[in-house]
Amino acid sequence: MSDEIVYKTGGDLRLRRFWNRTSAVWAQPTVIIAAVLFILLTYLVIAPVIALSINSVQVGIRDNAVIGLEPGVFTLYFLKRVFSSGVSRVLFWAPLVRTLFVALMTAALALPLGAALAWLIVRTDVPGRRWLSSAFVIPYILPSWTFAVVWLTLFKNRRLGGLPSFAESLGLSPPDWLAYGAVPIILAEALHLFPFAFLLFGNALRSLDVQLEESARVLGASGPVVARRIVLPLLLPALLAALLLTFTRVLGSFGTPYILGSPTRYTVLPTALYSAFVTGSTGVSAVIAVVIILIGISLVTFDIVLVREHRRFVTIGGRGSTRRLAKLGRARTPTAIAVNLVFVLTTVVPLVTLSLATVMKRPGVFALHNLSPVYWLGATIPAMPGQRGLLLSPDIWHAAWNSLRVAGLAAIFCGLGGLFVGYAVVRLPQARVSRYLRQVSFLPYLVPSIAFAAAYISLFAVPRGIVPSLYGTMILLGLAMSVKYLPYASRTGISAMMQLGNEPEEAAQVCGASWPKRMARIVIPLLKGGLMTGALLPFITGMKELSLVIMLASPGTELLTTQTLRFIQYGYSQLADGTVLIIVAIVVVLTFLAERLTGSNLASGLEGGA
Amino acid sequence: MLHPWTLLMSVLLFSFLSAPRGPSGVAAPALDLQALIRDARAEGNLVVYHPSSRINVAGGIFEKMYGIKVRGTKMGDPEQAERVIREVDSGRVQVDVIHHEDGPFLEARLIPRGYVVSWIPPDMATVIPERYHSPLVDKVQPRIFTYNFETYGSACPISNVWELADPKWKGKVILRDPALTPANLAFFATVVSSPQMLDKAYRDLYGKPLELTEAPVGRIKNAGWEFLKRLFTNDIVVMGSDEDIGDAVGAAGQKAAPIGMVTLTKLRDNKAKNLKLGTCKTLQPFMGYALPEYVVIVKNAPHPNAAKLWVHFSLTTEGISTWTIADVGGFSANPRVPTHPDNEGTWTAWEKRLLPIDNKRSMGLRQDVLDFWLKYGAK
Amino acid sequence: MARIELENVGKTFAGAVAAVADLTLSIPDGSFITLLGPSGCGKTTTLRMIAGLERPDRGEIRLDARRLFSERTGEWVPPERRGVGLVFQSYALWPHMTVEQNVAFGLEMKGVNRQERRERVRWVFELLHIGGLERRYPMQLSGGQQQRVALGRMLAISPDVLLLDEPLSNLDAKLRLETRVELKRLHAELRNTVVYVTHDQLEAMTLSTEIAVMNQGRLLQLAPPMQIYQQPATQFVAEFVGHPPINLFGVEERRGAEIARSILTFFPQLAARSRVVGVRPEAMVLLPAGTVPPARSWSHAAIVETVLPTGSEWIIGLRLGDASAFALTVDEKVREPRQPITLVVDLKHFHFFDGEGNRVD
Repeated sequence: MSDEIVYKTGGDLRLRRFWNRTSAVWAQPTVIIAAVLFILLTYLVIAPVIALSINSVQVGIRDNAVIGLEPGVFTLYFLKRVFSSGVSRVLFWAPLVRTLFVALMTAALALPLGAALAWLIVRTDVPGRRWLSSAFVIPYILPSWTFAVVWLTLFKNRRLGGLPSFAESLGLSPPDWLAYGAVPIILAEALHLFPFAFLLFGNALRSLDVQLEESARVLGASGPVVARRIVLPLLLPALLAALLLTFTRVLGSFGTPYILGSPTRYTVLPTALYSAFVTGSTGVSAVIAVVIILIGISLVTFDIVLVREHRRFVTIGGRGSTRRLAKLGRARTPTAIAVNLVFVLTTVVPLVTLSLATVMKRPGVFALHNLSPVYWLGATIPAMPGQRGLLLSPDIWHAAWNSLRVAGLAAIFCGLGGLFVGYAVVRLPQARVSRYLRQVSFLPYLVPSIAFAAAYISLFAVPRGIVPSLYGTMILLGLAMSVKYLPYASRTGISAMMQLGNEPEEAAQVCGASWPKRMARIVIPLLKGGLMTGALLPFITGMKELSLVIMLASPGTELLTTQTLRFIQYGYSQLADGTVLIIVAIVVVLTFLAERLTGSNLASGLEGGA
Repeated sequence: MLHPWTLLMSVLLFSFLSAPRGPSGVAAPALDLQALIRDARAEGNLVVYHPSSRINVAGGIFEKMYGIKVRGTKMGDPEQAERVIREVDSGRVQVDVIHHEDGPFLEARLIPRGYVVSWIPPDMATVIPERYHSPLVDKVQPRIFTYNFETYGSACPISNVWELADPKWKGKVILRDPALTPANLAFFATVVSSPQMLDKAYRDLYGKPLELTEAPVGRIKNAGWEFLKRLFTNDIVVMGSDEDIGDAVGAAGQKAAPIGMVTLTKLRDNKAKNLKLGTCKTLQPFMGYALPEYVVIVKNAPHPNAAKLWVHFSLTTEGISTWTIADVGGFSANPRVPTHPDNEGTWTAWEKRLLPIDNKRSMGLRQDVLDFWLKYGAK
Repeated sequence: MARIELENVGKTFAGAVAAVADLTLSIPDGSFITLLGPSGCGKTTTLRMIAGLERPDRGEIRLDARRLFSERTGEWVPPERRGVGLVFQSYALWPHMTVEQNVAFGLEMKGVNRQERRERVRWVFELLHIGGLERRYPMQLSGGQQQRVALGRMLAISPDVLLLDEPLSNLDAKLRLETRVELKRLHAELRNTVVYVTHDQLEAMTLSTEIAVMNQGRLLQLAPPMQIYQQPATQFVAEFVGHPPINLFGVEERRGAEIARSILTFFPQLAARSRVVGVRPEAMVLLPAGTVPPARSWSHAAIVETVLPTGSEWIIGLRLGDASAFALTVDEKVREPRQPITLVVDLKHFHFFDGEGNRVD
């Protein structure tokens, strides 16, 4: 009725149309979710990196003490100090070169090992293939620095002082190059990371359409020719993915190089960042963190470009079941022994060493009188004033409780984050915002853990507007962990939503279901499996996280992992070993339960990052 | 690969996030011990960061005496400084008291900028010698060069500090990592500030004048810098804790045990761990340095009265006994507190053989000393 | 009562050409209307706009007196309050619910009580002959069963309007025919308004009371099936409906111009406006070479090129000078490749289109 009057002029109509359309957009739940995510993710992902970048050109209070400029003043001093000064070689260039060297060597060890094992298990009749295919994932499930702790227990020498190592007790004195530095770091990283290559190659081999090989065979190609001309090129994407994963992991890895590199001052970028941070050079640590982030981002960008080049070849599906396994023949038993030996070396030896170390008064002395439960159950421990046996120590219980809480928080955040990011990214009609959300939720993956923590300290250590300071709180730990692991969950969420499609929800909508009902009755039940994986993976990873939390945890918020490092710093090696065992036990049990619960192979989610 | 939106948000956030800060000071009222105990009890708890793990033992004594639970954490100076600054800046202070050994930083930054307050209980003002008042020192200890008496016998194998820089001891001198132990930086700075002493010692040892090769840019070459350079380049070994150094030097059954610098208190491990640590009593021109431990209250401490009570406690026999009586090595700042029989003399006697650290001067040299270390020591 | 009116409805997706452009369509109550067109013609978008799953940019949509959308007033009724049913091409059955739960869901959302719900669900199961599947999960059903459940899920809420988005495209040929029969029976029984989207002309022809042929977001013709076939409004409609497709000869084409002109000589009053002449394959009568054509017919010499028997009839590929054409015949006599014949077409079977592709009469 009044319509005619109101909409007489074209200008009014245009305005009205604009208003109608705008209000219609904002009435959609998807848009509201996306808006909330937009703000939240921008603040939690982009803002910390910016705060970090600012720190790299701004004087901090502890820097101020040495360079004399007022805190808060902007300066290029730190850039100069890191990149071109008398100490930049020590602070940055040498660690950079070492980092790249360690990363390359680790890849050079882990990739062939993983690939060879994958081939043996997928393509040959080596016995125990089923069991081994899950057994080889265990090294990755263990905390990354388990091998480092084990290595010290076995091989450290007098340079580090403290209790003797197993080797020393046997009358050997391992040289420095064997006990510390590049060699053991590379070994420890490779033993921890070869499961990536194993999983990626294994899956690629499995999904390779056997007809591709058969076609080549029919056309007269011999076995080796098929391998070189057909199989290898098709595995190239898996190779690149494994290479990249290994590289980024090493780039962000703190625990192993800290434990094994410190004694001979073999500094890599993450430990350089950490020592700059603890010695109060906030500016220097910020510069190094920014560099690490830039390397991380460029590596992934490089990989994306390469993989995009090669994705064209990737074939999906194929009748894998018709493939015949290569007969190893007489080599079958020796191969089986070798393969099992790898398992023993990567899993059994480390865990047994740790267990033994925690019950020996003097490590490596195999005698009954040398056994003692004191490190587990002692009310006091000789030569460790103020410490109690691990199982009686309130510190350990507190740390365990903290670890569970933080990892739990991360799990819940990631589960929900995965759901909402997936929902918003897939359902949002505004393609640009959707792409922004997808990218930003993936960005934490590119930022190596320790640099991510540095960025979080930069942002959250002081109150900012309405956001209070979170320094020293469990919330900061939980938040950092949640956001760092969000990429796993959001990827799962996005792909699950994609797979689900819009139609089940639309069907409910035409049946009269309101948005909350659709979410509760249709979307969430259908995404449940993916969300569980998206939540459990952060939980398990969080329990063993060190690089991310080492700079964020404080005495009230000590986690099991940071507690381990404190024990190492104090020289309480038995307690450190025991704490690692506790972490391993929790993680392994959780993984087992999680796999039972979701009926999925969690290990398959690990490669989700690539 | 970054999206334009990412860049836009970055620019917006940049302007919002660049914001500095700065706290201020606190005044100290007079002491009524009974009232203080009552108020402290009402607070119920106390959090202390301390360089020694025996803080928990002292905490237990405190709890027994006053019924106030102490959560003590062993923590080195850099981490203490980091935490205190972060906590105060964030407005979420968790720690009440710190026992800090980085005097230069404490005097140059933490106190002037109001992060911590040095408070001396009024009843102790007449008891504690005045030079320990500001900032308040609760205990002093020698950090000295030690050797393995099982390997080398009753006398220290070196008598002159220049021997530490001699090829004979290459790779066999152990120090705490100066980058993580600011007290050692202060020690090096004091060395640099005492060139005559080192110059003379060199001539005493080698009978020829010392040839100066290098000093950091802007500094004058002297015997102190030269000593540091030669010491650092002599494949010096660094460790993270006195614990480890004591074990490395003092372990039984060694053929060529190293020399290491530890606090005198590590001599207690001769019993506890069957170590063979001996002090280099005759080392010239100094055995090591005097390491004061300051006790200060953190700004906006959550338990301010318990903190004061703890400071008072630290100046009493009960409070300091853990380090000065129960074990060898520490000397209370309170002259009335008895010393341990194995301390090898009174503090007055010790002080003559130790380099005293000048907090102010050492702060001015810190960056150069650290860079010098990074350049030659850290490799 | 359920009459759907679309008035000047338009919808453009971000960065693309208009999916639906200025569509005006009136769907009477109780009709079975099919939106027919190639993929991307806007038919599914139209359906989704009626359902409310897509919000138009302009125009107005009404269901009886109710305005579902109006660009002018800003009115908008979300899909969950429209009371229409939509069966998806993929069926979109909820895999985590049993068949019974799937069917009962809509009733539950409407707040129908348990007792009534049960009766209603039973009615649906009987109506669709899917009794016994209640406790199964969608994954355990055959394609045809899934299709019925998807239909039943929507029928359960007794929608005034039932929208079907290519519901038969995932079924095999035999099942497709059965389901067509079934749909026709249901429509006869329930008498609700059905809007059916397909690109399959056979479905459109057999099921509909009216067909709306669409292309590039526009409605080309709305008419009963036989009229669509016999009097296509545009060249596109003529081409799209009919198998094998209509034979077209363009006056300005490189090949076939001679044929077109030869036909147009019979229609002097149309020749000026017509640019294309069309004739359906079944209208092409094949006689032995040299046969004299009957009156009121056009004829031309041709050569058989290919013979494709379909069982009940033959599709014959012909060469007419430089042009080629298909004929459809049940006549067993002509079926040798390279055989010369005479092609005869009754004049009433020709269609004429102008330069814009519009029908010329």
